[in-house]
Amino acid sequence: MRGEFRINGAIKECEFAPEAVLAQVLRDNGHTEVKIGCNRGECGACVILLDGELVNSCQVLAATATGREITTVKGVGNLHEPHPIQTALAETGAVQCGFCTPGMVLAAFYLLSRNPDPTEKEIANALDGNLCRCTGYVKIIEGIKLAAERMRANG
Amino acid sequence: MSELKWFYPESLDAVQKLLDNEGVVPHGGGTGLLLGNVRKYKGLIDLRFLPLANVRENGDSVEIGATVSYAKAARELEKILPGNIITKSLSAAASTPLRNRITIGGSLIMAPIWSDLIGPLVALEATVSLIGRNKGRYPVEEFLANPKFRAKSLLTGVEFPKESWETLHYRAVRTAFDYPMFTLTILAKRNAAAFDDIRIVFTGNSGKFKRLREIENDMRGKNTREIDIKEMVGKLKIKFPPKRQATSEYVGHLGRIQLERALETISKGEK
Repeated sequence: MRGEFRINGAIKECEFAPEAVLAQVLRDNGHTEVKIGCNRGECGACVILLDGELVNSCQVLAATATGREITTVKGVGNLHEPHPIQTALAETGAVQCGFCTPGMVLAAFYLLSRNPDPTEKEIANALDGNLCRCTGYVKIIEGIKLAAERMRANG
Repeated sequence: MSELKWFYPESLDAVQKLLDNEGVVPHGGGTGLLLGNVRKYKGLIDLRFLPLANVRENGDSVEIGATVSYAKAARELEKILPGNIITKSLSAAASTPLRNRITIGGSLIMAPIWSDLIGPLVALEATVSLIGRNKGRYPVEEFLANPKFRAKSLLTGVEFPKESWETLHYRAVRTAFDYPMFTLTILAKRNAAAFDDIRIVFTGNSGKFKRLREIENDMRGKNTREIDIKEMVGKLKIKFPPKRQATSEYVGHLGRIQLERALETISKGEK
């Protein structure tokens, strides 16, 4: 089947199997920044914003996402114009193998867009759907706190 | 095998007609169908264009549409009934991205043994509304006990009385993001030192859920100081199946300990 998706502000027509999950369709169409880890909604490597809501794209059937607004980590910031969250994570050493990082950035973006001054506990809670097997989370939480401070300071 | 077909109805009448087709089932947007194999179905009905995505007050009750996510239900109910049991239980369920995905309707249709939704809805004496073959409104306990209600039917929403309760919800988990071995829900209304009403529900036991009516009857109307909690819990007959995390005996033992602690907490009026 074919369907149109609005990915990071651009309309893209994709062909996909009726039973395909959105994570795979995004990757098949060039969005390899969406990672597939557990494929069962537990690791958070595949999270995206779907109509502004943080979801595991491996748990979304692509046929139910046609016409909807999809934001991947590249829609938040990129190498040339990084988002303050990305800069802060890099500066605090919160990125090691990098596989979980797109999901961590989006989870942090989702949190800070609703709560600009989160406590450490609120940050940890917001990351409850994102697993990192390298860092132990300390640096990630530190990075998100730093990003929050900078974002507040810059309005 | 023929290709899976998708349907995008815009009215409940259109859904009713689609449900008559063999192998065609609703998909509310949650995660339930993905746990199985979607290829076994001939057709899936995408429910996103139906008016089932709202939480609203309806006189003396509150209605939650079937496609409302856990996160939205928790958020919207907190505005209507601060401190309510559903917000407490759903805010602790699964993870942030999954709470944005799991729907009330899908959760009730699947009714997994680890559900965080069943206990509160049974305690609230909620009703579910169905269209299709089993059109009507049914007590949630009756709906959950009888799988025949699911056949060729669409759950459109759930409704419960808009009342204030003292609430307690316990999830037996090792880490927050874990399937609970069991949950314990307690609702209480108090008149001075006595319970006017109390409702106690376990989930995760053999039979999926159990309302502890004998204990409720023993406590109702009594002064909290006259209640022998240890004795009541000692008489409780409940079995738990073995879990990934623990044996049946261990879960049963843990369940009784947590029930005793929870009843002591609610008797003292502690939050």
